[in-house]
Amino acid sequence: MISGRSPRVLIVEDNPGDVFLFQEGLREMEVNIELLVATEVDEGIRLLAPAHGPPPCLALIDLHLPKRDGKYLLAYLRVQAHLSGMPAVILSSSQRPVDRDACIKLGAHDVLVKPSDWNGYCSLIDDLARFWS
Amino acid sequence: MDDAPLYGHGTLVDTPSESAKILLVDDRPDKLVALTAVLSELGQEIICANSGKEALRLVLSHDFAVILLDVSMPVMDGYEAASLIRKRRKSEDTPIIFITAMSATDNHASKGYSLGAVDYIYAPVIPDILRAKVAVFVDLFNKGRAIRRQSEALRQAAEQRADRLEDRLESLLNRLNVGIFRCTLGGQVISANPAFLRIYGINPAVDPKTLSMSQFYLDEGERRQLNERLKRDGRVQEWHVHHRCLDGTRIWCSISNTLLTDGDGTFYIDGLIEDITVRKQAEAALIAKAEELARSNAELEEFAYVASHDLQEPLRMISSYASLLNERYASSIDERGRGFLGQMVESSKRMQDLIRDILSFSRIGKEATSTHVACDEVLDRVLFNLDAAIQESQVEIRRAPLPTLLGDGVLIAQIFQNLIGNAIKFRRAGVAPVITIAAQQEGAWWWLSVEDNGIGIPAECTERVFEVFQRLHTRSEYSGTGIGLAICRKAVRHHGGDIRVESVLGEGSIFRFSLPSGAIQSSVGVPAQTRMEVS
Repeated sequence: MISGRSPRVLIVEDNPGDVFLFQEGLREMEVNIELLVATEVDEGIRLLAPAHGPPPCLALIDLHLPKRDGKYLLAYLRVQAHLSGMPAVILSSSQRPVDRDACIKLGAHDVLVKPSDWNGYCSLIDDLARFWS
Repeated sequence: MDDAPLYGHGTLVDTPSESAKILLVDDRPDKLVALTAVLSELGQEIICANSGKEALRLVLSHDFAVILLDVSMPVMDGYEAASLIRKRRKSEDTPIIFITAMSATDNHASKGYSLGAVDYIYAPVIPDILRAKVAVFVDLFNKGRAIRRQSEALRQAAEQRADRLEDRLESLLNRLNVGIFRCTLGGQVISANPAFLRIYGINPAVDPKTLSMSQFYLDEGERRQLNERLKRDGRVQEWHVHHRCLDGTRIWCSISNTLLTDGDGTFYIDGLIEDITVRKQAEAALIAKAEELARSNAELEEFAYVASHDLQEPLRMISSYASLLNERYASSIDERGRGFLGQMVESSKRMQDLIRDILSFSRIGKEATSTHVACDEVLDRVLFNLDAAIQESQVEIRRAPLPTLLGDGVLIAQIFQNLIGNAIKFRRAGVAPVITIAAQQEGAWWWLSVEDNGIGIPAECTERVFEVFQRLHTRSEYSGTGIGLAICRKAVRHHGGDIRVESVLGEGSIFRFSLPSGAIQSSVGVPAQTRMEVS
């Protein structure tokens, strides 16, 4: 965003199938963003370090991750001064209200249900466009 | 004359055994004969004595209604005889009439009265007066005797009854399975029934007095504790204690003791002992079973949740990639191939619905919260969610005002959503569908209802529809997972309520479910019917 580079989005997702569908969706919708992919929380934290440049315009975080989960990352983001302005959206296949409430309390910008078909992915990307356009 | 055999023992007049006895005492036989003749008309038994001595002998063996005593007799005169008769216990109250030829003087009469005479008759005797006076005493005697007999009969009857009761009580006590005992505060047994001995495995021949309650306690402290309570409260009810039988077997006993005191201030304990070992064991087994069931239920719910959640992930992938394949490559495969793809997409959708419903079913009650729920607002949201289906099927929704109550808003919404969703789904062809939502208060409960004019439910299925995976129709007729009503029932039961359906096949159904009204004031002020409105 500082340079003329395309906006960057971090996705923390352990399921490569989901990542692939998301990327396919971006291509289909002709969205030009740079996708940083982390398959676990610690990797995501590394990618968010100041050494890797300014924070992405959005962190898309899977709630259920092996080892540390999405809630841990939300809590981490809250206490990092340089990341406080970065919106974080939780993706979850769970529709439990309790999960949603917990994530909002931890500072999640939104909690979205993971799509279950191709059109769902396209709608999701459409919905997220507000963060990068 | 002392031993004149003619009069000594005999009975001059034969009378029925019920007649009273009259004793005539005179030293002159002619007077005895004359008196007997006068008194025989009374129909009583007349016994004669010709001396005071013989009279004394006769009063020992007979019970006289009255004694007629001649005052002037040789050896022992009438006064002396009277004073001796009075001294005999048997005749101390027998009325005595003195017969005297002497003229009445105060001095004379007072002597007789002081000796217990009740009357005087002066010679020459006037028969009618004599008969009348004697008749009064005979009558008095007979009445007294009747009263004595009656009271004796009553006493005997009471005694017999008491005996019978005692026998019955003893037989009951012997047959009872409740041990009954009496012991001292120190535990020394005073008495015990056979059941008591049976409970502790003691030979019935053993004298209970040789037993001490202490020997049955595993812990003497427990017996002391029981006694403390007994001294404080005067009684102890159903105190459960672990006891040891004579052979060492451990049993559970329920003891109810009462502290009593006898006249001289000694305390003792009256107690009942019941062997409740079997009951205790059953209780323990039941508690263990309930705990096991709760544990296994919790595990099952957790399993269902985790399994459904993890099943959902790969399924999402199958469904997403199938739909992507369909999107991108539908044109490069033939019609049959597209059919296969369609099957894949549809099946994974159905699987997703199933998993979603199992998830919500297993989740009911796990995250439940209880807040003030305005059912009207809940219904607004549910109708908003169902708007597309309502528009499409042109359902007329009639709603009465609903109450605000204490419950779980998410669950209540789920109940309404499933019931109204079903009512829309199972509408009857050719009839304008109408769904009526109403509420009615019954004591501490609100009965909410969703009524439709749809296809109805066969009477034999009104219970089955609430069970998991129970479907009354094929998928080609009506879609659905068969979990919706099971979710409703679980959600209603979570609130402590109940759900029922009344239905007429081909006419419609009415589902009613109850929710506790809680302490919340109802928002419904007037009967639902009059405020019914169409939305």
